[in-house]
This record gives sequence, C-alpha cells and structure tokens, in this order.
Amino acid sequence: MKLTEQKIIEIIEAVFEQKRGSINSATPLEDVAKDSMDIIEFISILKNKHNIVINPAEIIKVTTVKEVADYVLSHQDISKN
Amino acid sequence: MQLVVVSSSYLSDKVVEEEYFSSDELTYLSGNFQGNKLRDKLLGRIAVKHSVSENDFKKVIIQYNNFGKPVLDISSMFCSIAHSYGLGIAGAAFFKIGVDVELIRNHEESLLRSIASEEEISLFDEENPDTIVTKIWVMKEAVSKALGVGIAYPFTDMKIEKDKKDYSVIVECSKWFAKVFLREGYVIGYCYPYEEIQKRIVKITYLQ
Repeated sequence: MKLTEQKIIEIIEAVFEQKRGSINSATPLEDVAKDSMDIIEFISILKNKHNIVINPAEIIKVTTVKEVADYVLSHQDISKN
Repeated sequence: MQLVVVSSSYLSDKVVEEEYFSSDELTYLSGNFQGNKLRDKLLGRIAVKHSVSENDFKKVIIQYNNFGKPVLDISSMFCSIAHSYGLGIAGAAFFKIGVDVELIRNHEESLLRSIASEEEISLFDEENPDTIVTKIWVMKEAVSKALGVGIAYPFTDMKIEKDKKDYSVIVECSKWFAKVFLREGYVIGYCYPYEEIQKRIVKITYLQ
C-alpha cells in the first residue's frame, strides 16, 4: 500500500510519541524529533514496515514535517524497485 | 580526563547562568533556541565549561567546526558535548574523546536491529531491550562524535567487542575504549582511543 502524507504524519506522531493530530505538515521537524536517535528510529521503521530506504544524511537536511513527507513519498517507489 | 554531568535542577538558579555565560553568549543562545532546547543547550555548555576550567567559565569559548563538532579555543584539548531530556554532559581531555547521553525510553525493536548485530546484542545482560538499545546507541554515538562523522556514518559499520567487563568499539582501523553506565533513568557513555587506556583516570563531576 502506498503511503500518503497523512499516513507519514501518523507514523511520525507514533514514533515521536506525539498526541494524534498534534502535528501537521508545517510543524518543524526539530519540534518532534528530539535527537538523532529519534531520526534513526524513524528511518528503521520506514525500512522495516514500509520497505522504504532513507539516507540519514539526506533526511537531516529537511526542516519541516512536510519536507519529510515529500522526501519519503519521492523515495517509496525507488525503494521498491 | 574530566567528565561533567549537569542536571536541569542546576539551572534553576539564575545566578548559574550569569556565572557561566557572557551576555553575548546568552543573547546568542536565547535568540536561537527556546524552551527545552535552550535548557539542554545551556546544560551541555555548562558541562563543557566545567570540564576545562575550575572557575573562569565565561572565558571558555565554544565554537563549532564545519562538521558541527565543538572545538575549544584551548587548541590542545579535545571536547565532546551531549544532552538529552534535561541532562547535559561533556568530556575534555588531551586526547580524542566522545560522550553521549540518552534518556531510556520506549523504542521499536527495529531500531536495535538497525544499529547492532545479534553478536553485539548478546554482549549485554540487561533484560529490558530499551536499556540494551540505549546502551549500544550511546556507545556507538560517543565513538561517532569522537570521530566527528555524525549521523550519516552507519552504526552497523562499528563493531562492539567485550573483554571481561570492558567494552571496545572497532571502526575501520581504529579501536576505542567505551564505557556506559546508568544514572537515574539515563544511559551515560564516553569513549577514547584504546591506546590511551593506560591514562584512563576519569574524574566524573555531578552538578545538580
């Protein structure tokens, strides 16, 4: 099943223990991912549960949840090929 | 080697800020960080200032190189800073060092498998998998900081070994002595090059 921006937001809420509906696409990533351990955990979940491979060096360049979602959505087809 | 651990209760006294920070440094920090992020930045900086000076804390200038690694104006010393959820730590020495701290919290099992092999996981006796993953993370992150390689360097390319009670981390051609310990729900860790093991007098100061 293809991910959507909303689904990615829900994954981010779960990984970073945020209340459901508490973040949106404009939320700064640093407000939810407290440190690099959070980032790597998010990447490991995308890989294991959704078969999406993300480069940590790329994801740390993004600043908002929307940019995370855009990055992940642009990589989900690449990862499955 | 000096390791300093600073808890958030130490910051409750406003005088502490005035003792450690110049007005320029405070203005910079409060202008760029807010809330818990500012608190943790202050804790990390207090820790590193305390690790290299006995009382002239304001004069310790912390800068960051192009890779985001903290460097001191005392060029002969190496330092490393970390903070996590209201605890700051720093280490300073005349050889390369790395430190890290993490609050033990719930993690998906996939995180452990993404940073460690089965062989490495078996080196830890804890029953709680969140403690194991945090210990392994802190150990490898400390080495990552000592090397100055950051998040992009895969933790699976680092190998933890254990000799009796001592842990070490192998990265390419280098070997690092690594130590982790628990304190009030956090895992605190530090590392330094294995060849410096004879100098392993580590003084730990707690400010709270």
